[in-house]
Amino acid sequence: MLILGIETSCDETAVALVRDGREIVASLVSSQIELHAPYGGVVPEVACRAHAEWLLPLLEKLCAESGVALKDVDVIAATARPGLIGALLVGLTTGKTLALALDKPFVGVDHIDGHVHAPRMAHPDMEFPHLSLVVSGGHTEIYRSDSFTHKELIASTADDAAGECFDKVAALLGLGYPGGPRIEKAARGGNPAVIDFPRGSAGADGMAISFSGLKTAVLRFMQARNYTVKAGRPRLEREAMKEEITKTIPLPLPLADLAASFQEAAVDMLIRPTLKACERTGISCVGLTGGVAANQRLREKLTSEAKKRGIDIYAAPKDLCTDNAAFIAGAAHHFAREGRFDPLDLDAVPN
Amino acid sequence: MNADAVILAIESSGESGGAAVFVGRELRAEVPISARRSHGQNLVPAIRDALAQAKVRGEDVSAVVVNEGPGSYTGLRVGLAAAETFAFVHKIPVVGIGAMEAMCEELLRSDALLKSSGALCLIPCLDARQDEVMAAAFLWDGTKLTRTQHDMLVIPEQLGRLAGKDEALAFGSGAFVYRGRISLPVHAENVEILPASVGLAAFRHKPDTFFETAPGARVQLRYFRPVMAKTIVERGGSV
Repeated sequence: MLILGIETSCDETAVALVRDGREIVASLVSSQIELHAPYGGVVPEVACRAHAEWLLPLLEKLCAESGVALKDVDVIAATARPGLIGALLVGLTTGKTLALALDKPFVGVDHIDGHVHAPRMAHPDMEFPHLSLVVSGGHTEIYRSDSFTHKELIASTADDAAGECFDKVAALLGLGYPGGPRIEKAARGGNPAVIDFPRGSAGADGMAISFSGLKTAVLRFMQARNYTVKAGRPRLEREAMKEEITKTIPLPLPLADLAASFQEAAVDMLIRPTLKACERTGISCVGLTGGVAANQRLREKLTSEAKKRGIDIYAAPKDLCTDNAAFIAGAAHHFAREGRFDPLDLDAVPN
Repeated sequence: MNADAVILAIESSGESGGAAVFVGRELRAEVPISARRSHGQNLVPAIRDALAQAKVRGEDVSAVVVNEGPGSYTGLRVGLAAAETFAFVHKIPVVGIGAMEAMCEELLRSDALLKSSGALCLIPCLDARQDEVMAAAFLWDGTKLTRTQHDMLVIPEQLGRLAGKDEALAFGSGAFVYRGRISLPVHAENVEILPASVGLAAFRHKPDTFFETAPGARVQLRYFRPVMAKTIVERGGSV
């Protein structure tokens, strides 16, 4: 079964052709990072306009490069939830119209089902039940899956998503947007043990996740030592925070150590609830997925810590960590196989 | 235009919307969306139903007409996504038509009195929020409709300046909402664009463009204002 996937839930415009849920025939992602970078974060209206402009040319390119004609596609799939409403509607309307005009069945996909499916595309040996650690700019959650089309929330962040925390700390450190890859790069060669940032409370069930405290800890650390960042570059969460920093006397920032120490804390705060969830559910197979799952330190440390406890970590390939349409088409395959198609009046559901 | 060319008209820029099918210039089916602001959900089914009611197949359609704005950001994009995608599959052109032209057509087809009136300045107004209306002006002489002012964003009190010497009539959501602040006569009803008016406006103003437009040529949407540059975090939300 050949499925066309469309993804426009946030700031990536993406289309892909996937056969039988795993075989990626072609996958194209048009990242809007450059459009949003000057603002220091995703601007919804900028994202929506770009989706509307880029989606069809990208689809045309997909067909041209793969040599696949749309009429040979068996099912049309598009992300229907969750995400930015105006962004979702561009992809969903395009997907539903394709289904109508081509007379093909349609599947509206939950973006999280896409993330959860990503590791399975690269690791056919993953077995059910398994857990998934979904970490991105918008999500920090642990799910249990008993089948390809099942997911049940086990734990989720009480406040900021991990990726959001990376973005905010990157802004504090003057590294710009997007924060994840920039912090990872800055942390290279740094000593992660120099600053012992608090890892927060594990909570009563040991699976509590909270990232707002870590961001504040980084800010307080910088203030206490009068560290400053180059003016003008970072766009901070609040103007007050910006002023607090620029007023202080400049000292050279131990950037690599700071970034490495922050990254280590963030990684530990993701590993702890994941291993706890394994212990509580008795499940020893975990998918690692989402934009933050591209972080090499997280991949390595989670894998080695899990191994000590007899748990297997299946990390999504890095190109399937950030948003793409291949995992949407892949996830849709299993809903289609169960005959779970959606009507053309399916609506988008924002966050 | 070919006498039996099938034209699909799509509207979703405002509170209502839907799809209409013309064969030649004759309206064969019009499926309005009744639920307010439900374009994302109901526009594609409306297209399906309009084609079915007109008894034409998708591959019979020769061109698609879509409202290119100004109007609701998301609404315009939903309409354009449907129009361009439908046209992409069938390799046919998409013709964009202005919201103001479509509004005039809606008024003319809903108000029989105007058909026999003398020279009248029609001022379509859209509620652009933030205490402003998007308006334009057209001269209607009983048979011909000629644009006299380009689209502009004004406060309701300034609308009178768009009218010329002739008798004028302001209409549309922007006139209806702010009728107490407008010095011109205001139409008693809240005139909203229905899909057939989008097609009729294109027939009137762009009769030659249907088959001169290349398939794949993009329609440039017109928005009320430049982009609102607030990030998700600044808005206090998250993705």
